[in-house]
Amino acid sequence: MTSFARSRLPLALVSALLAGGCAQNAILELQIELPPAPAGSSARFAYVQVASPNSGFDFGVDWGDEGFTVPLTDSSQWTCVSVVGASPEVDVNARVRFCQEERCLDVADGNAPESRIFVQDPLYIGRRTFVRRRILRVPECVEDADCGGFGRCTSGRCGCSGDADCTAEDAVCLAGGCVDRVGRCDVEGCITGATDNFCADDGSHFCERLDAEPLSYECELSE
Amino acid sequence: MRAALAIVTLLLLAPAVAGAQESRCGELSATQMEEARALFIAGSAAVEAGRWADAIDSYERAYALSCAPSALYNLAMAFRALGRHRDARDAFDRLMTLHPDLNPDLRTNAQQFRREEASRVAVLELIDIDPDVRPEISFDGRAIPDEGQRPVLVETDAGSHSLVARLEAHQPFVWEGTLADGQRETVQVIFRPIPTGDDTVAIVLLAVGAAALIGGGIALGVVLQDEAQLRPLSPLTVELD
Repeated sequence: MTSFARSRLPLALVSALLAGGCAQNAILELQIELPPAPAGSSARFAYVQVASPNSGFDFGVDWGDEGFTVPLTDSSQWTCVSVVGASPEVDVNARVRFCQEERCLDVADGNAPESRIFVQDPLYIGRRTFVRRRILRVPECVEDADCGGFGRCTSGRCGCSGDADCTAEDAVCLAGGCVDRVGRCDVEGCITGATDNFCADDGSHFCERLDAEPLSYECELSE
Repeated sequence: MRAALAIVTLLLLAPAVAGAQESRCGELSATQMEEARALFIAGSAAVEAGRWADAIDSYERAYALSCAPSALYNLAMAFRALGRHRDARDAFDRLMTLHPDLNPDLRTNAQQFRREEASRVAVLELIDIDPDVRPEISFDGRAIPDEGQRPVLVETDAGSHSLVARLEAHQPFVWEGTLADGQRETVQVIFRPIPTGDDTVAIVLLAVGAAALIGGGIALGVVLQDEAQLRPLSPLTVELD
């Protein structure tokens, strides 16, 4: 062992101890499968925004210009966002707008088709959780069937006036659009092995009880 | 508050008559009387609106112009409503001293209110100050004259206060605390000589060493804390508030 390595050893040991049990942040790895660019559509980019409704970012209001742009391609693709928080008491909203301009600034993007995801209680301090959602098609339409259960077709856009218009599983109607709702027991993490429910019999989430490796991750890992 | 308001309203018409009875201000011109009357009315309107600070300003100016006891009475009542018990007590004292021919009912009321206000004045009693020295005393930023009387008494109203006493070649004595209505708090004032010579060097070195130790500890804590945090897997990261 070199002297450098020896000098770093105490720090590394302490850090390892802390890393195991003293992290004060929580991360949701939100993975969204984006649809291919539809033939004949003007939508060329997906503009992904993620924020918390607890901070006022509801679907009925404008979220400003903080977001990520992903060019649509001929095939579906995964985009992943790490959502870092320091409070376990927050929900997460995500909206994906399908636009002509990369930041949705074109005049025609004012009424861009939009997909919405709501995640309930995904953050647990010191734990990493995962949510995977698929957007199978850009939510523009000619008829109701084109919306795939996420609303009815009105003026080429999929929208809703009540939950009855959102027939897809777990979808609810919020602020004129169907929202794909991910309940807290569907937030993955903190259990080893396959399961379709991440809450224990007593209703507690596994992240409140156990520590374990993540199940799967659809994107390339960053450094 | 309602009682105070009723009295203020009742006296609204009093200043002209009272001012005429008052000799300290001399004969008022019609313009001065009109101005005093307008200030009095403005004060009453401020009371109705709950703007007691504005009322105090109006009544003070109305009294300065007219010497009308009703203006001084209302000024005292406004101080009372604001919880400025010391000022209220002093205003009632002025009223009864400067206006011996005060309406008997008004005098009775003023005496009662004066007693109540006096009982609510808080007092800081500064003990153990050498009678032969005259420290510079500052209470809530206001200089407190030291006439040599011991203990030094500092009157004030309820609330948070601070006192600083300075004596040459000594470290400042500082007191901070909260006083309730009518509370009498005794404070022992201790002046410590400022160290000189080698002592000073030693203290400075000690302070520098302590600061370095604390800074290093904080830096290490930041490093360790950073190491302990979970790292995002995606380069696209959102930090929630």
